[in-house]
Amino acid sequence: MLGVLQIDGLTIREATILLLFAILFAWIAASFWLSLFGTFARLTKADILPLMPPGGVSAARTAILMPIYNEDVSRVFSGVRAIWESAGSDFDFYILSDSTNPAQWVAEEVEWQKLTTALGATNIFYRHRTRNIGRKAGNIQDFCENWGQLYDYMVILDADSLMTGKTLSHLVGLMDANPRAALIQAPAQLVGRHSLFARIQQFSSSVYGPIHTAGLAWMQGADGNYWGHNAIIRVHAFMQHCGLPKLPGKPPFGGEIMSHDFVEAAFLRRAGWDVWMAPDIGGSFEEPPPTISDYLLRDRRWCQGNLQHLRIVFARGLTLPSRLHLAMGIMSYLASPLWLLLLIVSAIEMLNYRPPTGISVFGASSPLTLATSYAAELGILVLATLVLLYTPKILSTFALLDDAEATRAHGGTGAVILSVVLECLFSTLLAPIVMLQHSWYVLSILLGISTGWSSQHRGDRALPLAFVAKGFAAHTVIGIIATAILWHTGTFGWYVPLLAGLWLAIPVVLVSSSPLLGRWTRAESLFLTPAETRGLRVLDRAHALAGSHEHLSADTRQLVLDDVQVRELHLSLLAGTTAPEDRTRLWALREQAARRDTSRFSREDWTLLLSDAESLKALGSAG
Amino acid sequence: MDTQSRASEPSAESALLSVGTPLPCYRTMPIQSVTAWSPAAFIGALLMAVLAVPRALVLAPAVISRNRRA
Repeated sequence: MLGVLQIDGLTIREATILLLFAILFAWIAASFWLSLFGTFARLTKADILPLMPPGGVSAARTAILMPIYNEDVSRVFSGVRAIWESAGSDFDFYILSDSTNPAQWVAEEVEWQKLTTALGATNIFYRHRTRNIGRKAGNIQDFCENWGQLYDYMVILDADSLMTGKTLSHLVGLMDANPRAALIQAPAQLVGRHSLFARIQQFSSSVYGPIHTAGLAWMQGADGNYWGHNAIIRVHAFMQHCGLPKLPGKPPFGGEIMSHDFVEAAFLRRAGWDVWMAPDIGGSFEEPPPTISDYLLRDRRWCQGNLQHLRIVFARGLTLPSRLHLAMGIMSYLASPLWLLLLIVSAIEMLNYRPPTGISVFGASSPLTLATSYAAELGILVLATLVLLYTPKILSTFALLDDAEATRAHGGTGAVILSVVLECLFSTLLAPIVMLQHSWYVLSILLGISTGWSSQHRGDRALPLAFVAKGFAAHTVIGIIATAILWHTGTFGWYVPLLAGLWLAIPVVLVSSSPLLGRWTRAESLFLTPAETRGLRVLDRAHALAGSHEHLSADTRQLVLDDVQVRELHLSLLAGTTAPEDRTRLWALREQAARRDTSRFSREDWTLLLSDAESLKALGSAG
Repeated sequence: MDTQSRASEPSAESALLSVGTPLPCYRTMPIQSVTAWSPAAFIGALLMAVLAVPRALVLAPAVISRNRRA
């Protein structure tokens, strides 16, 4: 690149291109090398997880935590029940609710009671926090501070996580046998959704994931990372070293640490504990976001959390690999605006391009000159970039096709190859959409705009056209403007793969959200995964339970006032919690509730009333 | 080891009240520091890293083998 740019002197624009290209080339090269190491580790059957194997029966006490926040109750409790049935009574389960929606809160309580009664289980617990201090990290911290001392290990799940009992027991055995290990991450395979977008993601995770995680695990060794869920943690190490500070200043860079997982892993490493990843353990699953829109919405939160790590990456005492994990997390979002900047500066350079004069063969002003061309050099650069981008996918596909059993589980050789080609096409279209969106996220965060804490849409649904058009019209307009500018540069063809994603942003988002199309591709043997071809007992059970789940028909908030049993249950779960301080407001709400005049109650009003045992008891005895 | 030190403790179920959780056994998690390096410390650490990384890479197989034996 330098050779091409410096021929007629290096301008500031060219130096910028060179710098950006160097950074981004190194960034995509990292992924390339990971996949290369991963393939090597797989082919040579290298020992990726050099830990002592589990011994006999464990005497350890392990809690399985599911922090939830305004989640669909049928999904949560079906998942818990499926895991409980798989894991048996060896574990204690904690549903740790931070739900701020009072209807959701009461529904969770009712579902918890139904579940424990149906199973006759005394090891499934439920706790609700009215004040969500520290968000998810604070929710886990609250568990640790109150009940952490009762347990040796805790397994953190997400609301859409599933793990098999076998995997959970194996993780416990590994922790028992390796007392220096504070955390073992079980990489979650994406399963369980039906939209086209979700199925493509599930296929990618199943085909490309194993090579990537093998490379990562092999390279990082005991300097591993934590991905926030589907991991087992040694409780006393976590309690001693993972109390998260509040960063000075206001959000988005200050305040509570949002992406807590990387930081907690870094703290454990700083304290001398080992953090491992077990890529081959299996039995660890989560669901992907069902649509591109949901995927990008989740990324907004992650982006802010990862950029916040700029404040932590230079913290004293962290190990170099931990800093690298943090830096790579930052770079995964910073890369987008850098790519965009590179494209803009390159386009400006092209618009101002003047063909260099020919090279003189005989003397400075000889009439015998040769035209110069950099097509070969630039061609090599483009080819090298494409190799870095697509080699991980090609290697992963070869590794899969090398295993006849795994190939059959993905629909056979033809189906795998066709699916990979289509996936590459889809990801090429998706890349510029994600680049623009991430660039906007980074810019908005730098402008000081913070994101809230919203619950995620996890269910399959075809997005309405109006919603998609509103969300992605800007991408299309930017694509059209860029086309108009680049049309006459003579290099327009080079930009087509990038611009195509922007032109087609609305149809790509719309079509890929379709569960119908997802099911059609499945019928056509495209994007198949072993979970679909062979079934997964824990997933199928969770889906069956969710499918047969009976939703409460009444307003669950009102049930606390009207139904004695629900009120008694709610009051028993309120025991030990601190009563709200705003007694004047409470008194007014109590008066209104006594008249059943609750139609104008806000969410905060309901939360206040439902948090006060005294008021609810008074309303109960009055009723 | 953790498991041995906990073996004699009562089970969580035995402490279960008529509420959703076992009796709390409160213990605070100490807040960790994220104080950043001073510029001088940063440069020093960078130099150390330049020396340490090749060493760590060379010794990685031996360290992994030692961990396995430990």
